[in-house]
Amino acid sequence: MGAGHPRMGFELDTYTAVEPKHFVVDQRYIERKGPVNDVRVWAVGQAIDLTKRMGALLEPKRAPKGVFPELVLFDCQSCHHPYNSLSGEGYTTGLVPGSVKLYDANVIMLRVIAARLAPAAARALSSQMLALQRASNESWAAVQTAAYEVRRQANALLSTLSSHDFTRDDMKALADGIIALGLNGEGMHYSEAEQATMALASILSAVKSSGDLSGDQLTAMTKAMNGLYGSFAADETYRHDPFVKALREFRRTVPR
Amino acid sequence: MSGEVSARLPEVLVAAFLTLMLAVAARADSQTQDSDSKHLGVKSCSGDNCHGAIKAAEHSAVQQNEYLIWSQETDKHKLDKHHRAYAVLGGERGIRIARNLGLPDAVTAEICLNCHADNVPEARRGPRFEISDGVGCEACHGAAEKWLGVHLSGAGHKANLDAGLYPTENPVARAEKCLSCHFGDPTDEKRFVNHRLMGAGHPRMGFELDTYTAAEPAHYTVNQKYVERKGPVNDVQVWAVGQAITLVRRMDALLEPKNAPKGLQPELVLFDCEACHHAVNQIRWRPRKSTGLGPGSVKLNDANAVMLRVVANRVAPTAAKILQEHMLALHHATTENWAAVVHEATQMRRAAMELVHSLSSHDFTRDDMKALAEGIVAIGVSGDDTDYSGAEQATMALGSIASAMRMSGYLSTEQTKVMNEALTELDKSITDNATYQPATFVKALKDFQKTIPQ
Repeated sequence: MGAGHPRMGFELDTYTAVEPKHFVVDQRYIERKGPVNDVRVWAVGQAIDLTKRMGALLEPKRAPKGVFPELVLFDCQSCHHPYNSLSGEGYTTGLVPGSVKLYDANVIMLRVIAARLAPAAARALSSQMLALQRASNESWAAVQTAAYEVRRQANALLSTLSSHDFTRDDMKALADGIIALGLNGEGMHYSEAEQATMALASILSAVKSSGDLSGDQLTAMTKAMNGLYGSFAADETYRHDPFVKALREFRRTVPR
Repeated sequence: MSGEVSARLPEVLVAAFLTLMLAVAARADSQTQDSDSKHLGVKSCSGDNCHGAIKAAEHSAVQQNEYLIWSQETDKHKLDKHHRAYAVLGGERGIRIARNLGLPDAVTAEICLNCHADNVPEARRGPRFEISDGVGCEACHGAAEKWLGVHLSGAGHKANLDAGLYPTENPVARAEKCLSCHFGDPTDEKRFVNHRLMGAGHPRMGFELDTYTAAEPAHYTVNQKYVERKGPVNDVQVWAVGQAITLVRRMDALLEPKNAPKGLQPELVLFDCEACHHAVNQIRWRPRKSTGLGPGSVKLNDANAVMLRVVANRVAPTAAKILQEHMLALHHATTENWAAVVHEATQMRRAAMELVHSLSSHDFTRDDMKALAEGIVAIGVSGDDTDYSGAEQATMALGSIASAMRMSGYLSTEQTKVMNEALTELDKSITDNATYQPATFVKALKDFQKTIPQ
């Protein structure tokens, strides 16, 4: 990254669509390969992303060399933000101001999913992720212990998500949950805003595929989705107020 | 405080060095800590026949308007930052920082007041003392209870010093005093802006002794009367001594056990701000001879060491070589472990302490000034240190050197004018760390180089 490689964001369902995808989910596709639910793809993607991240923390090659750990495992904007903007305040990870937090946007999304499908697992994941963030103030051994447990929990959730039939009510609840995160007053940091937007796009795609949106509803939601993407186009200019405003606009378009 | 001394120095110099450092340390410590003496407050200085006079009395040794310069609020471009230091605690930023730290407010928080005011214990505040005066006279000049009587008697500057007035004219003593807030005391959690405070919203802390003396703004003039009473002033010497002592303090911070890494998190305030705080989409890394670090590494703040190397190359080449070796080793140590960092920081500190002695006794000539200016320009033009912190220090250094050149009569009126114009462009290139571009800074450096008399 220091040599100049661009930032690496990812979300499974969104990136499948924007490659752009070279297949169409039609009747023939479903007959051969089974139905596709964008929300399930998104959810599974979050869980596996998290297991991969924890795998990286557990990989001996990624152990700290010298005074600093492998920084790519941390949230980019935890460091790479202008410091004149007071953007470092209000972290919800339980770390003191000025601490560098591990990348946790997948966990934040997974927590929303688990809160709908497996509330006890959601609480456990929340608690364990906080322990992981705090472990970075203790030692690498403590980080690995905490990461091992997070990965175990992510794997357990994976088997739930990959077999769950996400209904229209699920999709609405998930969209509401993600929007609520953004509007909770603490503000969303760039990585969270990025994942939240891609998540809402995947949910929108799933709702659209289910045929439950009218033409007008789809037009309004698509326009609001574009507004969301526009609000965090560049990490160095991201500010959470414009994102929150775009999120409110999107919420207005969600059918009740 | 004096630390180890190299066995390479001849014994007689060792003795002289120790005597100087212990004398300054003892005086600085007694002044800084002020034992039991009371701080009487700025009102004890501000009388209109003392330092609050619009016009100096005939035969006055000083300009007598020092309090007026410090306290004026009419000219917004010349507000004294020390005078405003307490007031900013009550502003929006101060309130938010305090909230982020879990404090009720900044105006009563010890960690804020210790540098934003003359925060002596209640028992040592005279009846007219006001904490809201901010960094008042005695914060720098020492507790007035000790020396005010002697001062009022007109016994003279030496007698004032003997009575306890702080020797702010001495570059070493001034550096110690200024840095006690502008860098802080890394051993004292209530007097050091660590990364937690930065994360809570504290502004960036840059500092250069000579530039900040002038920019406060200075409330004295170095004229014939000043020189007779306090000795000559050489801005280059003030700058150079400031760099050396700042480097000593940075090494102290690295050596302080409280600043050792807590788990994976080192004390980030000791590292270069912009090593992290830059937009990720900038392809900015380039190899640097003075660090040897690879891409993606986080480097220590080494801007003072880079400046000190330039001075040492001119004044003490052997010491410069040692400094350079230890700088490289210290950067490399950050890729090894903290014990290696501590080992190298110890060596760097010793090298910096030795240079304090050389620099505080060196008579900086015009040729020195020219060579130092060329040396600083060369560093930037070579690309070896065009990070924001390096550009900031280089710009302030060139400002101090220009000032010294003017004072020494090195520059004609026309040369002063073009040099000032070039300095203005340099200042513009570092106005905002968020939008700083190395190419703009290097262009301004090259333009400045053209104004150095040949």
